Amino acid sequence: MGSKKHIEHEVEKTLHALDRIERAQTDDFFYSRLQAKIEQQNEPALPQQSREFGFAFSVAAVVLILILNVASIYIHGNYTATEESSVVNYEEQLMADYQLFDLSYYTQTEE
Amino acid sequence: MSVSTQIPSFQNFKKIKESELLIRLQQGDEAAFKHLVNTHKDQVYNTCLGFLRNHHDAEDIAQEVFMKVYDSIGDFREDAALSTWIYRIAVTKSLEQIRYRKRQKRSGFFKAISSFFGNEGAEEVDGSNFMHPGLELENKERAGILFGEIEKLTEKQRTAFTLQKVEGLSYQEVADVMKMSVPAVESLLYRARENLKKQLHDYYQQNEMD
Repeated sequence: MGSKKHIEHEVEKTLHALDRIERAQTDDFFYSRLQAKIEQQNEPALPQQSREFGFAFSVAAVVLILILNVASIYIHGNYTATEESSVVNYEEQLMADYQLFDLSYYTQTEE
Repeated sequence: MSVSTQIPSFQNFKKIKESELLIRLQQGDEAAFKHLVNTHKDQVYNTCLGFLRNHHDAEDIAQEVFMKVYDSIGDFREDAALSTWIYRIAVTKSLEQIRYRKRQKRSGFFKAISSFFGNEGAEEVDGSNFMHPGLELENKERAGILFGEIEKLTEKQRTAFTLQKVEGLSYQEVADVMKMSVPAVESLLYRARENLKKQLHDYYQQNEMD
C-alpha cells in the first residue's frame, strides 16, 4: 500500500520536473555558422554544359589510354622482331670487322 | 556629398513592425535576416533540443530551420505570425530528424551493431545521457526519465507536450503551431499526461522490483 503511494508520489513529481525549465540558448556565433552554411549552399553547382564536357573528357581520356596501350603492344612486337635479326647481323658484322674466324673451326680441328 | 544608403543595424530593427520586417526579408535584406535569426534562434534551438535531446543535432536542425526560412520567406503568407511559422518549421524538421534516426536504427547495419552491443536503439542511448541545460539541478534526474517517456508518445501528443512544457507556449499558441483548435490541443495534452502517468507508473514499478 505504502509502495503504491510512493510510486504515485514519484510519478507526480516526475510529471512536474519540467515545470520550471529555462530556455536553452545558442552561443553568439550561431549566425556566423548559419551564414557560412548558406554561402556554402549557394555556391553554384556545375552547369549542365560543364558536366557534359566532363563526361566527354573522361570518354576521350579512356579512348586515348586504349590507343596508347594498343600502340605500345604493336611497337613492342615489332621491336623484338627487329632486335632478334639485328643481333644475328651484329655477330656477322663483328666477325667481318675483326676478321675473326668461325669459332667452330677450333672445335672441328680438335676432333 | 553623397547620400549613403546604409543598412539599418540590428538594434534599429527592434521597433520595426513584423510586416515591415517581412517586406525587408522578402527583398533579401541581410540585416533583417540577421535580426530575425538573432531574435528567434533560442526559441528554435530550444524547441529542437526538446524533441531531439542532443545538442549537436539540435544545432544542426536549428540551422536547417533558418535555411528553410531564408529560402521560403518569399512564399510566407501572413495568415500566421512569423514566429508561429518558424515554430512549425522547427517542429517539422525535428520530427523528420527523429524519423530519419528511426529509419537508420531499423537498417541492417545499425541494427546489427546495436544488437551486437545489446542495445535496443541508439536514440534511447543518446537520450539517457542528455541533460537539458535549462533544468534545475534537483530536477535533472527526473526530467531525464520524463524525456525518455515523452519519446514513447505519439507524434502529436509529443509535439503538444514538448511545445507546452519545454517551450512554455500557451494552449492557443500550441494550437496555432499545430493548426488545431484549442479544445483539440487540450484533449491531446490530457491524453499525453494520462499516457505519461501510466508509463511512469510502470517505470517506477519496474525499478522498485529491480
